Amino acid sequence: MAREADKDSFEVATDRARGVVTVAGDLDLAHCQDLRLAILAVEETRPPVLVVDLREVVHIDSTGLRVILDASTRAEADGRRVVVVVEPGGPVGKVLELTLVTDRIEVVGDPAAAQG
Amino acid sequence: MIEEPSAPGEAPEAWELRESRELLDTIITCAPVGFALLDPAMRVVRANETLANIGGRSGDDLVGERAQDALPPPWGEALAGPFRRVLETGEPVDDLEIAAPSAAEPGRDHTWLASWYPVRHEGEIVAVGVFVTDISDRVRAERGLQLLFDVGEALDATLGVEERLGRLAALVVPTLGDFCTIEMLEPTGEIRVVAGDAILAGTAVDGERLIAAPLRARARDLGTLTLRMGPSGRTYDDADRAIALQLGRRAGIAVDNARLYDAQLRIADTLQRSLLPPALPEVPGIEAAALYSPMGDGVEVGGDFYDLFAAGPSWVAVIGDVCGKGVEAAALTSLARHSIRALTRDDAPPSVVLERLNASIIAERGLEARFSTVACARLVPSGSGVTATVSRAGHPPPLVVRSAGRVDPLGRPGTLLGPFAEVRLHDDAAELTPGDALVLYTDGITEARRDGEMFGEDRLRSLLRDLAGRGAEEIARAVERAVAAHHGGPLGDDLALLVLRVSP
Repeated sequence: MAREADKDSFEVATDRARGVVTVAGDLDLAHCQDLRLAILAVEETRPPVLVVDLREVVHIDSTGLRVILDASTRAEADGRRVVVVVEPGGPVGKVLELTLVTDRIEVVGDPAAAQG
Repeated sequence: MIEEPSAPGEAPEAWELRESRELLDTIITCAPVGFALLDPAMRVVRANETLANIGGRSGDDLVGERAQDALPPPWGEALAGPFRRVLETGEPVDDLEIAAPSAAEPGRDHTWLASWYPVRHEGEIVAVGVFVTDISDRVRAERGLQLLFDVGEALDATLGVEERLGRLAALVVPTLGDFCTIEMLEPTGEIRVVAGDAILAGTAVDGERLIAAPLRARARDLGTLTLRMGPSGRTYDDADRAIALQLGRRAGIAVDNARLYDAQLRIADTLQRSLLPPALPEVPGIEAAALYSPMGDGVEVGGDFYDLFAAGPSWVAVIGDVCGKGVEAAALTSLARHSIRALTRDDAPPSVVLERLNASIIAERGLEARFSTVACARLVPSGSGVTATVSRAGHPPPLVVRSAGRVDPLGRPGTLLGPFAEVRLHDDAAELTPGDALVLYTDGITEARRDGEMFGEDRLRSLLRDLAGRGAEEIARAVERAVAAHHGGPLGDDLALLVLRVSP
């Protein structure tokens, strides 16, 4: 999906019923707290699988990555799972591969596979 | 006014009239509001006690006197204008504010609200009634609030703390005093006047004419705000003292915040310097150059670091980036940099060094999501060149810049350090011949942006291709210029770059 790379673009949407957090734009220091709060809100329902859809994220930095790792650690301690959806070879996919976070967190390219 | 003698057998109507006149007299006499009835020559026909007290007199004494004689100046003048208007127009004049003293409280500013109205007899104006209400307390409360508001704005201004205190001192004069002095207690114990005039020794003033309010924050006295009355002859009361205490507290918080900010700057500077080698060492056969630019205004310590040091027969170059900013990130950065030096004493390959670093971070801090990405390179002389072995822990690949103009990434991806007890790391080697360079960098370089467009890895590689064969220092400075030209504005992230070139 083509997206204008806007400096201040960031959107996060939550679907508590389905346990899904969808993010678009820049997942960086300026916006990581918004994602953190969104994930915490969805966690309140204790979904067995929490899906974080990052396919429309154009850039993720270390602070954004940390929010994802935090969520994964909390899920593990609570007997839940976190599944991250990325576009393979996309900006987030590259970072997850570069840092080998893919070894530790379930990363899928297709949201349909996330709930499996 | 003539009192009718009470007559036996008085008619009920007359009795009623007398009753109501007495009632009216009582009301007028006891009213907390000053009242005067003035004849067309502005002489007092009737005045109550409240009004007479303004001049320190008694109500009955004033009868027959001209208003300007019955009351202290500037009362006569203040009453005269509206009085004439009522006579000329026949219309009342309502709610004018008069600033005039009261003999009852000579040291205070008084404000009154006055109204004038015509008194008619058979259509003719025979007198003018005047009511005056003392609204000093309300006016002073309003001025106090306004003053606190203005002072709040002055203290929030983006100026040095002493300039802000100077503004405060200027604002409170004359509302809250004829003089204002602010003294600060320096950390050395010295007392220094920072605003207003030094209070001269020997100017004896009593508590009525002086308030000394502490500049106080977090239960510590940081100085004194002194307010003093002088030529105006005014004196202070509890309401003034309450406002002065508030001002002192606000000024104290401003001083405290400024000192905290200075302390943070110093800490940030000290930490930042501990993250980097003071100077790059002389490495035989290798030219080294670095580029480092912390983000922002210097208060936030960056998480980027680099190092270059000898380890046995080889040299180790490291570059890293700790997640986040500030003192907490800097502590981890410092731990990482100094641990690596300790962990490379033997001939361990870079992947083992990074694995040990991961273990020592976890041992020191426990598993945590605040991670680091590090690239570590060991440089071993071989023949006329150097063998560079690289391991990457979540870090972008170092780039090998061949003197002939080729640029290749070196090293496979590896796990970032900190959040996981087990990491997957690799070693990858490249032979560097004279004139070749190895460039290590942090993502602050590639992620520097203009209008959302990143500098990017492609741009870096293409720039390095153009710089192939140049000296290390020249390469570092050219990258610095290109990144600065690209982002234009202030940096959103730290950036670091280390160039190691085999001497030709």
